[in-house]
Amino acid sequence: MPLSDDHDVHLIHAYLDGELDVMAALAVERKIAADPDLRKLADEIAALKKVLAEKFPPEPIPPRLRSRIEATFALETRQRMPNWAKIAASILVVAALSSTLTGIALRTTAPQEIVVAELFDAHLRSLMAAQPTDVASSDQHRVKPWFNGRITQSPRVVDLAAQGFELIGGRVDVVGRTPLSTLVYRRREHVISLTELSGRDQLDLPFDWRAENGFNMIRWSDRERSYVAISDLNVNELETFAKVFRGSAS
Amino acid sequence: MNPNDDRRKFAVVVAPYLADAHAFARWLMHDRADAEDVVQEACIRAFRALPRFSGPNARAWLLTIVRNTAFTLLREKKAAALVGLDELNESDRFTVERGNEVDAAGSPEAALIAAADAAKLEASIAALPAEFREVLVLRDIQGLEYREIAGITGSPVGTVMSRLARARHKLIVRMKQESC
Repeated sequence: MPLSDDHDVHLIHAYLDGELDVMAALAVERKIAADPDLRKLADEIAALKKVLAEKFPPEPIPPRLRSRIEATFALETRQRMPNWAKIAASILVVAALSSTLTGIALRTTAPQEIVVAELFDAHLRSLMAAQPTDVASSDQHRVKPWFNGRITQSPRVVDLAAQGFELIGGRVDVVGRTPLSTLVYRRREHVISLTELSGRDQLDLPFDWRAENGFNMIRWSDRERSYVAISDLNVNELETFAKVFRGSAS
Repeated sequence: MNPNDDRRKFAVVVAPYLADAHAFARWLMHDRADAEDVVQEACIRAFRALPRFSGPNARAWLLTIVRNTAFTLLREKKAAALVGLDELNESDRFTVERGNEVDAAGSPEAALIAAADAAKLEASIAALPAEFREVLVLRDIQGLEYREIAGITGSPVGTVMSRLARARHKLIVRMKQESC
């Protein structure tokens, strides 16, 4: 290519790939503006990038290959699943196969984000296990005492069956080295993990939600405690869940 | 770690990137059945290596394994396509890296490039030397960053940049020729 030296050409590629910092990008923009040959090159590269992205969008893995891999790695766990867990597992397979990994992606960020990432992982793991609870009960008076001796706080446990969120049990999720209480609710076939944070892990956000890989997460803080709710339930219903949980008396 | 924990870790770490792994294998292998074998074998290798994986970039890690697996299979098949650059002599290497195309005269519009059809593009990409093809695919089709590509291919970032520039240049020249 008779244009200019390799360095300039590489910089144009890097510029179009978003790999340059602001100062370097501005310098490249100036060069492109001043040189019609570079302008033409940049246009062509941009057109190529665009057409490649358009013509070769991400493709799902062929079902046959997916079955083959599942057969290699997941057969034994699948055979022992109770009925309702199959529903959760199907949700999980979709999530696991189609999403990027939340936990790992978040781990480079703030400590609170690490907590949230770990809770996502815990929620995913629980869906994969034979059951998402360590204590399975719809009776809040059985679930609450179960946490005694397992975590240092006594969590707030409420039954919201009347509002359409059935308590199905609880489990302990370990985040960092701190055991936390997680209540598990169900709405239709959707599982909701609700984790209570206090003390060091207390979140300073009054209310906040976001979506990650098809899962919704809502977190909020009361005076002494924070809660993180994670589910594949749609965000409106998850918000309703958060509201009725906040509004309920324990 | 018991086998169940390994399977869970597999589902969390590896499974989200199976589609990426498969797409990459397809570009490396040409043949559909070979690509699936590569993904399957890469999964087994990844599963064995899981205890040593500590993050943070599971996708790049899995793609590295896919690449190694693909190259092992290609070597076994004695694929002619896999001549390493290092094995070429100096003038061949210059030709490979710079391309020996004469830049098409005139100034075809970037619009022509944008209108290229998928089959021709795919054939052009498939015809690239393996070292260029993998860099182009990882960047322009799979959207990885330069440093991730450098890690996967075991080359310096500067090499990734020059190979990417050459690969794109070759495609652009070929598309211009075809549209003439």
